[in-house]
Amino acid sequence: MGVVFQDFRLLNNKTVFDNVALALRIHNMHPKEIKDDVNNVLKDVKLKHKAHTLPQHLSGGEQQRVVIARAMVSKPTVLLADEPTGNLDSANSEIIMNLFKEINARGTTVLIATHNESLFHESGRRVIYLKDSAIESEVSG
Amino acid sequence: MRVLLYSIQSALKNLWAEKWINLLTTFSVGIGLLILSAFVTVTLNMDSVLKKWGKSFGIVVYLDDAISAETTGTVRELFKQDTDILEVIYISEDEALKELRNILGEDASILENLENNPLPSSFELKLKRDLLDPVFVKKKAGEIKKMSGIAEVQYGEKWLTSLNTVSRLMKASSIFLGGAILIAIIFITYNTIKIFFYRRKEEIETLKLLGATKSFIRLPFLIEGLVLGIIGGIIGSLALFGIHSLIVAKGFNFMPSVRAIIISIPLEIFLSIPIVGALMSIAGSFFAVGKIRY
Repeated sequence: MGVVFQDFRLLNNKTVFDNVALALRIHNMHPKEIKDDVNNVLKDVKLKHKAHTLPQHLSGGEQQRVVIARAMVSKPTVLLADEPTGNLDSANSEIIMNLFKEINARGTTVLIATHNESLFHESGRRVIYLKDSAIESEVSG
Repeated sequence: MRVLLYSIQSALKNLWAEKWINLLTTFSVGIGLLILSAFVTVTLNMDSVLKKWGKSFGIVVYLDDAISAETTGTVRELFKQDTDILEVIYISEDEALKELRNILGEDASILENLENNPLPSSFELKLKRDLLDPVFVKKKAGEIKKMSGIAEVQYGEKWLTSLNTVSRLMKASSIFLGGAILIAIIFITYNTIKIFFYRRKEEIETLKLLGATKSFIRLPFLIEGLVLGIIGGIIGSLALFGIHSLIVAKGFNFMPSVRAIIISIPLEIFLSIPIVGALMSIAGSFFAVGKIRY
């Protein structure tokens, strides 16, 4: 399972490439495979040109895309996103949501936890409403 | 192996990123090891000097004036068979007088008026170096005195006691000082690694959330400690070499007595300083990373 954190949790002393690669390095993957997979996933999130940039030199939307790339690089079957647009403006939120749709279209289940109702109203997907840690209602997509 | 390589790479990057605190740590470790190695060197050299002095130590056994040649021979044989005795030297009455004349030099004329040779014949016994314990030598002298044909037994009791005290004092100081410095090095590295750990707390949290294992998180810290210890040791080694060279080149002119203490430094000392530094630092790092909670 891949996780997208609301507060990004990127390592500021590592480049975009190294931040994404970390998810594979901890699993002891071969450097060649790491290089290929990271470049591919950075291409998917349209950040290949920023591979050697440090996270603090990226916009909020770009940082969130790096986090998604890091979560996706190990090819998880489920992607859990915790308030993925919580720190973003509406334009960047839209980019991120479109990215999630692309990821989902490629076969990964995307689970988004959010307080932003506009995100799921227009999604046409299954929505589960929670209140005080309990399921309140459910809308099928 | 790949994790190890990545950890080494990561540790070196982190060491460079925190270069000022690391500089302070390596110098502290280096100075500690310098003091320790200098003390060990002086102790080793003092010990070798004491061993040399110990070689000249002997028990002088004066024989009765009336002792027969046969009894003298028997006593000599008994001494030679004694495994505690390394060397037996017989000094006859005439040899003793001759030696006295040599010592007196120009004043030897005072001996001309003597009707008889007043000096007794004697044996000079050299004991084995490891047996030069004041209690043992006193006991041995007592046993020899009880033998037939022996008039008196003499040895430098005070000198031997002083020698023994100095030797014990130096060994005890070495252990105490060595222990204190080694603990200090462990403590310095422990604190440095703890500081690194707190500074990288967020990074560790992220690694944990990404599913990193304990060893993946801890390994760079251990490698950082190891490198700090090795560099500290190299600094200590170089400083010791520099100070020793300076003393040999200049110091002997001002303090000739220093020559007796600082003779040479074995290569093993120079090589062992970085190894000791590495071992102590890795121990400090090990205790520090043990505090990382999961």
